[in-house]
Amino acid sequence: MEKKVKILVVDDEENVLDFLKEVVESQGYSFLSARSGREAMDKIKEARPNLVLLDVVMPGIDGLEVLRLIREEDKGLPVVMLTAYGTSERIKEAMGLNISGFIPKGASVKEAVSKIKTVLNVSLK
Amino acid sequence: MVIKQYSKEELVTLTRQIVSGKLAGTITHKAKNILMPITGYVELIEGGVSSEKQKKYFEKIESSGKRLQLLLKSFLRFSRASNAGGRGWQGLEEIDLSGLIEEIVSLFEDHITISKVTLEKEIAPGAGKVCGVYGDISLIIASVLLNAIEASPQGGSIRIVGEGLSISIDDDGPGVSEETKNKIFEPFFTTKQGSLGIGLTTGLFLARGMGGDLVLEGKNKFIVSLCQKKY
Repeated sequence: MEKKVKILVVDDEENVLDFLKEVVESQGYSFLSARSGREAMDKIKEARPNLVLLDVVMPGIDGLEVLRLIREEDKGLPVVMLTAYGTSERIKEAMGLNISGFIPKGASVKEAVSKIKTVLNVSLK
Repeated sequence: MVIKQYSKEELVTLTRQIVSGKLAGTITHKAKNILMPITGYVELIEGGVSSEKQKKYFEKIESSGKRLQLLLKSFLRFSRASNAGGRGWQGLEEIDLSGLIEEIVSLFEDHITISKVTLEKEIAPGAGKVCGVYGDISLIIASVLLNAIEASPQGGSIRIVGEGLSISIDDDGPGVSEETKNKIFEPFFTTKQGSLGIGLTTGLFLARGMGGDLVLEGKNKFIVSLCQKKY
């Protein structure tokens, strides 16, 4: 049996996690979630997701710091940043850490799904 | 060069505009986080889902909508609050201190996260009703809180405590030096780049206008004291 693609969503907003769970599962992927940077790192080590959707602004360890920690462990894990608010410096900084793209929090479901599929198609080839 | 002399009322209005302006970006951030599922669930429903899911999504849309409404209502209430502007005892009302602290803190939530500090909030069971003007008290707390956030190092923490008829806010930043202690309430005195230096002046003026006070205790702790309702 083919293994399900696992997507880890990291966001401190519960309503965003609930919603993205519906989106991710509607596409037949397996949904994993983390509400903090520390929890995200634990989940990555434990569950080995195929893709991480990572919020930039989070209390404690923020998205960019999580991204740095991910890159120390795994240089190739696809990471797409979720942004509701981002300065150009932060975006530039994230680009330098080899991300697979951005999903703005104002994006439609169609756009978000399209981005996820594009990244997975490239990484699972 | 002519420097305009501001009246106290103008200083209050200017302070409110500055604080509202600084909060606007992070309120937008919070609103976008709430809006994302609202528009998203609508799109999922339009795409066709089971009636069970449809019911669940409608409930989520409704609760997010209410949350957004509350956020915008609080922000408008703060940014458009009328100022008593030190008109003494005129227009004083009974205000629940704990509710007011909760409301102001909720407006600052994302600002605190983005500033990479943490906020500990403690409302003692004895935090009671005070006599004041909502707009004035909220502006004093917001100005002092904003100062604390800007003075805190990354990873620093701020404590806001409501007890009895007072609110204290302290941070673990470097604090106010002995040399500047006497000047911090003077208008346009600032040690921060890009700051006008009117927040504490306004806070002191508004607190005293309601029969209360704003004082610095030690190097880092500001205490706003207010009065009890007069019958």
